[in-house]
Amino acid sequence: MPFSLTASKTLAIVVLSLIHSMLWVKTSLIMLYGWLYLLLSSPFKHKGTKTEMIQRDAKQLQKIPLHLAIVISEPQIVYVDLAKMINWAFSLGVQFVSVYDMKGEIKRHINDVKIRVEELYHDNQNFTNQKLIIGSYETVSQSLHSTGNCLIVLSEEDGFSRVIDVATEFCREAVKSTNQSSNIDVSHIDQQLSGSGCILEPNLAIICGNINSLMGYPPWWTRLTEIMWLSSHHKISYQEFLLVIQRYATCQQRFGK
Amino acid sequence: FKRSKDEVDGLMELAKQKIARLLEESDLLEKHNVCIRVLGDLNLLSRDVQEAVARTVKLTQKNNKLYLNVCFSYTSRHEITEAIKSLTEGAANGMIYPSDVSDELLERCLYTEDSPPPDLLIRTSGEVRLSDFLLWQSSYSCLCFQNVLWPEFSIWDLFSAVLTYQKNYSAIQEAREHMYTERRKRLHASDRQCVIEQMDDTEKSRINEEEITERVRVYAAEREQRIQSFVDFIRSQRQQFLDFLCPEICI
Repeated sequence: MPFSLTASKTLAIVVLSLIHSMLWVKTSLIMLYGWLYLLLSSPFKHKGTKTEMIQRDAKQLQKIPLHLAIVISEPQIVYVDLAKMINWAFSLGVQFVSVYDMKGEIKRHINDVKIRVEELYHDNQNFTNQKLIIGSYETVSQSLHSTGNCLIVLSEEDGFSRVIDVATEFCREAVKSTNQSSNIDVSHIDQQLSGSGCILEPNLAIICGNINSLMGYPPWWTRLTEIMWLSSHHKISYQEFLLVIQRYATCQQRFGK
Repeated sequence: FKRSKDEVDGLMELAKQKIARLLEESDLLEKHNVCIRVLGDLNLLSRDVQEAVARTVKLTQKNNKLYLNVCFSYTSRHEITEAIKSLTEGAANGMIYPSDVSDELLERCLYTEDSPPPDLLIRTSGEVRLSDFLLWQSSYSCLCFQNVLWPEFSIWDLFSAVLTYQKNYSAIQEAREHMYTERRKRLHASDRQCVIEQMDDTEKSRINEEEITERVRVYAAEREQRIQSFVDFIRSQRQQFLDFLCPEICI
């Protein structure tokens, strides 16, 4: 009896490993196909270095996300490529970009990010008189609402903790005066979490890396966010990035309660 | 509700029929030890639907093997807001201190209460968003978006979702561990801060690290007791609501 149990268990593990291997082969083939397609079509498409070409692409999009969230789930972060992606987003007409990595690597290198993004941003003639704000959640939520662009750098501590901070503040006020809880509703909390309307919820979240999770990106904001993937942000090509934005542009949303 | 009146009425009627159908299968529910909970703003539903819901929940309340949570008249933001409101009332009544508010406490005040967070979230119909569903709880869940429409969902689609979960398992586990570690650190720092604030200047200057650690341990135990009483109070309030709607079933 015990022998057949071990044998069937071993068989099950072997079959499962086989299925996972086949899955890995399938994913790799799809990635290879995508890479080949981009390689072969690249002579006919531009590389995102000229803003007029990017603006032409933007005009063909039915809709552009106002706020794009980039979630980096890969352990190695390449700031050159990240900065390129952020600027393509701005050039396409995205107003806010938020970059998130759970462990706060990007936050620790925020100066590096700032330098690279600002350099590319100011190269763009259309943005000569535009303001670009780059900072953490606190910096951005305290800045005045402007018509320029904004890059917010987030990490795990901006997720649950922000909601807890708001809740704690309400509790402190409630202890002082007993008439508070009736004023609390969804829009009140939303106001608090969005820095009085400075930060909007992301319309599109692009997860870089093959992990199927938002990895703690501020949950209050992801209510209606379309979630899509890029296999990696390393050596990301403009065309790959544009494909995701185009996919977003064709999706429909229905709003219930 | 933002849908048309006809649509809402149709959905309510459907809900009543399905609940009645479910109650007919109560032996099956008993046999498999299924506990059904309905999460959401039940006050928005018509009285008869509320009573049907209360009946189903109370009948299966004692079961503890399989849990089915049905989110009906539910949005995640509303759920989080209600939890925050309860916390605020608790603080106003002195049941908890504002410094007691933590990720863990808020989670225990959500409709999902002490249920573990979902490991796997499957969204059918090809849409790739969460639509205000379990935003807090699914923050570190494996997300699986499938093109199949719900009525056509088959066992193979479920297998495919489980394979995705397996593929992502170690990365997501690592992320969760990291989050729990950070949580514990923050909680410990908060307890320590509270203990230090309670001391006057003379105490602060002569106290040593060992004594502080001991005091923090005692404070943490007291805090745990406070929040347990508070959480029990919230549960009893929710139970009272169910008892009010369906007094004939006693637990």
